[in-house]
Amino acid sequence: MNNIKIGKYGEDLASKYLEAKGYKIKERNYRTFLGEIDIVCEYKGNIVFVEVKTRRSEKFGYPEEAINLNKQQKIIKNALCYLSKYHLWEKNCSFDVILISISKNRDLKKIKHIRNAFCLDIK
Amino acid sequence: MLSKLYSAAILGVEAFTVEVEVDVHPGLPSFNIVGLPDTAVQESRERVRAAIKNSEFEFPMQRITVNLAPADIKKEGPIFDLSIALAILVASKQAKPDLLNEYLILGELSLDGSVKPVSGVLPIALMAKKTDKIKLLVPKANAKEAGIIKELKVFPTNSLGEVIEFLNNKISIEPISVDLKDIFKLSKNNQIDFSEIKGQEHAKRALEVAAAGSHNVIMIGPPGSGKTMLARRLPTILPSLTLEESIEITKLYSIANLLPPEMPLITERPFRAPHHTISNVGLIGGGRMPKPGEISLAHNGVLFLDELPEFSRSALESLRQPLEDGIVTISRSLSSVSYISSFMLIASLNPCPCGFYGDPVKVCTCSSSQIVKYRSKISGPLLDRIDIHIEVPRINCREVMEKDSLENSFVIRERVETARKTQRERYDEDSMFCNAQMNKRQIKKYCNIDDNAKNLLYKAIEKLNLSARAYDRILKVARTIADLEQSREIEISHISEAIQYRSLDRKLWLY
Repeated sequence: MNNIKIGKYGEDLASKYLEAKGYKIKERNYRTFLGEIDIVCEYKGNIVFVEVKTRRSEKFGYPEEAINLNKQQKIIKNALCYLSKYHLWEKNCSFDVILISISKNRDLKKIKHIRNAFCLDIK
Repeated sequence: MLSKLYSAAILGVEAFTVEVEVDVHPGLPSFNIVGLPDTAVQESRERVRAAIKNSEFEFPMQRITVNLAPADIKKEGPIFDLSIALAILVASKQAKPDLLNEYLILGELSLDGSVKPVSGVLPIALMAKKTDKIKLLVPKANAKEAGIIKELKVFPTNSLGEVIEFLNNKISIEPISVDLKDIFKLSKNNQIDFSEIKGQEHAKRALEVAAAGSHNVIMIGPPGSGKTMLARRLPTILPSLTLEESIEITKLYSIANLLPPEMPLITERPFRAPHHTISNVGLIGGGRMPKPGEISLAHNGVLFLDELPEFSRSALESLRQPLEDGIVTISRSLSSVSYISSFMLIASLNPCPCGFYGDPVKVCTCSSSQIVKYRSKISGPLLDRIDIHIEVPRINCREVMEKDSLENSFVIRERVETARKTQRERYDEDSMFCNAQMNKRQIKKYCNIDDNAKNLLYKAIEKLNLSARAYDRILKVARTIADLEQSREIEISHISEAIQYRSLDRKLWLY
C-alpha cells in the first residue's frame, strides 16, 4: 500500500474518530492554491482545523517533527482563506493535530489528538 | 472583551504607572504583547500561559493582544507578569474587574503560578503615594519594602490562584504593616570602633572634622600606617541616618537589586570600597541598561578609594561632576538618566610607588620620574575638590602596644552630631545640610573672619602657593572646626588648623 493511500486511510479513520466525539465535519481536503487542510470541522461553536498524520507503528514521532514551521504557516494561510470565504470571523478557531499509527495489516493501533497544537504568535 | 489593569515600572531611577490593557476576541489563536517590550517582557507570554494553566484556569485560545501603555517608553523586566495574567483572566471572564483596577499590581510569575519578587518596589511605592493608586498588590518578599510608605495599603501575595480567591472573598489578605522602629533596631551593632586605632591622633582629629562638615579626605602614608583601618571606621562617627536619607539610599539599592532579603530599609550609612580595577561604568553607573554605579551606592555614605593612583585616569576624571554637583548624568542615545550621588570621598595613597618616600626609617627605592608619574595621576582639579589632606605616618612600636585610646566612636559621634545640628539650623532655608556644600555666596555670608585671621590666610596662600579654590576650602573647613567648638565666630586658631589640612598641596605635588 503506498503512502497516498495510507494517508487517505488515516484521514478516514480520523474523521470517524472526530464524529464519534461529537465534532461536525464540514469539509474534507479543503484545497486552495496555497495548499490543503485535511479536515475542517465544528465543535461547540468553534471551528477546528485538523491536520492528520498517519504513521506506521514503529515511527511515532513528535508533533514538532510532523508539522514544521512551513507547514504551520501554510495551514494558517489556508485557514484564513476558509474563514474569509465563509465569513466566519466571529468564531473561535483552533488548530488540532491527529496522529494515527497503524500496523502493517491496516489495523488501527493508536490515535493521538492534540488540541491547540499551535498558534500565531509574533516571534 | 477588553480589560484594563494597572502596573508600574522603573525608568532610570523614577517609577511610572503602566496601563496593562488586554483585548481577547475570537479568531485564530495568538498571543502578542505590544508597547516596546524588551526580551524579558516578551518571555512573559510563556510564563503567563503556563501560570494560568497550572492555576486551574483556562488559557483562552483566541486572539489575545496585550498593550503596555504608554507605548513609547521601553518596558523592561518581568514585573508585569502578574498584571498581564490577571488582565487575561478578566478579559476572558474568569475574574471580576471591579476590584482589580483599584490596585497597582506588581510581580513576576513562576511557571506554577506562584508570584516571585521583583526589584525597584520602593521607588514604585513612593510614586504610588503621589497618585491615587494607594492599594498595591505585591509579591510577599517585597511587601515590607513597600510597606515602609505608611500612606499605602500593601497586600502581599504568594500566587495567582491566591489573588483570585482573595478577589472572590474566599480568603482574606491583610495589608502589611511595618514598624519602622523595629527595622532600625535590626541594624547590627558595630563591631568596629575608633578606639581600636592606636595613636594617629592627628588623623583621627582630621577625620572628626571631615565627618562634622562632610568634607572629602585624602590620606597619604606608607603601607601599614593604618589608612584603610581609619577609613573603615569613619562611618562609625558619622551621624545616624534620618528616615528621608534612608529612603533615598534604599531607592537606589532597590533598583540595583541589592536590598538584603530581610532588610526592607537601609539603616546604616553605606561604605563602598571598590577595587581599583573597577571600570568607569562600574564606578559612575551606566551600561546598556543604565544601572547605578558605586558612587550612587555610596550616596549618603562613604566612598573609599584605596590606592588612588591605581585607578584609571578616566575613572578619576569622571568623579569630578558628582563631587561638584552631587548628581551624575548618564546620557545614552535614547534617553538620559540622572542618579543622585552625594557622598563623602575618602582616598588613600602611598607617597610614591614603593611607599616609603619621606619615611624616617625606610629608604625610598623609586626613581624621580617614577614618583612624578605616580603623583601626576591625581590631577590638580581633583585634588582641589578634596577639602582635607591628612598625612598618616608610620607609628612606632610603643604606640602600637599602648592600650586602647580613651575616645570611642560613640563619644566622637556625639560631637559630630552637635556640629551637624548647628549646620542644619544654619542652612535651614538653603536646602543643604553641611559646610562642605557651601557655594561662594554662602561662604561670604557665613565665613567671616577678622583681619588677623585674614592676614594669616593670605600669607599662607602666598607662601604655600595655593590656588583660589584652596582659599574657599580652607574657610569651609575652618567653619566646621569652629562649629565643633560651638564657636559662632571663626577664630584664628580655626583658620590655622584648617590651613594644615592643605599643606600637601604644595609639599608633595609641586611639579
